[in-house]
Amino acid sequence: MTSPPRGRMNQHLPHRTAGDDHLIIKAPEPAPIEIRALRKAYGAVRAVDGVDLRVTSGEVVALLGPNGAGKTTMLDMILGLQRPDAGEVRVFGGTVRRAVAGGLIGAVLQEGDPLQGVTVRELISTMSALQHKPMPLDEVIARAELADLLKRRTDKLSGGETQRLRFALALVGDPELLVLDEPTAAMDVTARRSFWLTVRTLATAGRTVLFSTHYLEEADSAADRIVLLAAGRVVADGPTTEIRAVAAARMIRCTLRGANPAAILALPGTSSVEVHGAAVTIRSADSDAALRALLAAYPDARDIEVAAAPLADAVLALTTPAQPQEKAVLSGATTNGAAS
Amino acid sequence: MTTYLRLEVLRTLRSGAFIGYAIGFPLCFYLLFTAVFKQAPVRGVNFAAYYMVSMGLYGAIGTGLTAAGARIATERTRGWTRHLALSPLRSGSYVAVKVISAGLLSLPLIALIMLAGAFVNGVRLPLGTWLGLAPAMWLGALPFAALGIAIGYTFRDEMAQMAGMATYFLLSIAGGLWMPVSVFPGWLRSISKALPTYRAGEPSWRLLAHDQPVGPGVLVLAVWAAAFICLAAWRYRRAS
Repeated sequence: MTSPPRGRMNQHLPHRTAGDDHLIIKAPEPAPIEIRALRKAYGAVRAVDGVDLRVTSGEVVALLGPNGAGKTTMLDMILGLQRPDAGEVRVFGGTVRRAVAGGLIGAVLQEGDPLQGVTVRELISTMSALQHKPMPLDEVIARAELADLLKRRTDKLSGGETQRLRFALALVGDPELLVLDEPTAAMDVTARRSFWLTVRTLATAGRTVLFSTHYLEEADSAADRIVLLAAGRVVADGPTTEIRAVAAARMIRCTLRGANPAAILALPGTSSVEVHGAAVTIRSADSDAALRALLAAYPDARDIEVAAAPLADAVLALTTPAQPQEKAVLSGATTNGAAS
Repeated sequence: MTTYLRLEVLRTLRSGAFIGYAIGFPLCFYLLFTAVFKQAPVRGVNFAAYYMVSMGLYGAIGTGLTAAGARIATERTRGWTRHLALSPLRSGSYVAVKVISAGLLSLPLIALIMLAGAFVNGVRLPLGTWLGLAPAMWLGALPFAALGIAIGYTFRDEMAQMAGMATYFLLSIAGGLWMPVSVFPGWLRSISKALPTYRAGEPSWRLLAHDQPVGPGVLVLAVWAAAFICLAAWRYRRAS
């Protein structure tokens, strides 16, 4: 079996280098994921519409986007479960099939029930036996937190437990690359938190992680980099902090009596305003300019607070078709302001 | 792959539906039609021996159609095959696991029917005939695993079960496994003789009549087997 050499990324980790020294190669490392001009359409719907993406070793990348943005289609193509209409996917410089055969990829799929009529332990150990270089079973069980469920039949698991079993199945080959399609769906808050902790641990050991999620906090806290997908295209790609800055990403909150929303919105730098009684929230792409103008116009504004806007706002701003020069005024308990 | 095969056999044996349909059903049928209703000998062969082959084959064919067919359809529909696509197990090996497990799972059924024949119905045969019957029935049923695969890669979940059952009953009844073709009217008998189910039983029935097991009828079965394999290969390629 010729598979790309493993363990190179992990030389600093003693427990993974033992016996791997002979695999150290000086040639430039092929990227875990390299996608060029990827396209896939279902009839008239362009699910993935020309995506280029390169994920380098050790990165934890979140694929974020609203429902129907093409996240699952894209991950399926990366995993070789769907054939692209056009474009190319390279995994560790080769085909997906080769990477799968070498146990280099592990994946948590959104669809797909685990095999029925077997226990958790039977399924994990059988799938582990198919691997050339499996992760020790105890380690798989511990990482997926399945110790209490080993004797349970797979058809008797709850949604969150099934998700942990899927994670275990992703780990059996001790993969270098983890592809996770909404991995924490059906998990409760505690399970979610410990899941991401495990993923971060695995990433620290040199593995690469690409995951999709619609929990914005997850992308924000778990990923180093966010790729924002909308209507099958990458609308933003960068470090988490940068993605936030792309949109009207600051919020200025202050207390101001008798504020006139229209007048505030006319100030430089403001993109939307919400007024709830004396509480004023301004969204701004240039919070410095907006704050100066605000203080000049309303010297009695108090309790001023400037903070990064939640990621949800950034996503909304980037995925809503831009309407230049248009500003939204929201007063009272109205919903999101559309950033320009 | 052997570990996966073991799991496949184990989980099939655990399934109540499999034990009921593929083992319980033929066994009860056999005992019912031989012990309860006394039947006349078929072409000089004691009915209890003749029907032992019918039901052994009936059960073994069911194992191939369900273990290979319906299970593939279920695993495809429920998405387990997507998981497998991400494991080093190749899809060809997956099909091989299904065929081999169908072959293995039909063995206990054949053994049970033969034991019931010998100890319940007092079927007495020369040792050579006993030893020849098991592989003759087993081999006769094997082509139906290919038909099962074709069904599994054509239909989804419940449709596959229905299609499998319909094919199974139709071929079994018309092929003379439920009732010997000797009781059929002439027109039906000529249809039976063109069917793979009848031809699959023929070598075993010939053995019981102290004939050479392999006659020209084996060619008919071979043509069916080739057709099933082509169908399975085509459906499999279309699906993957």
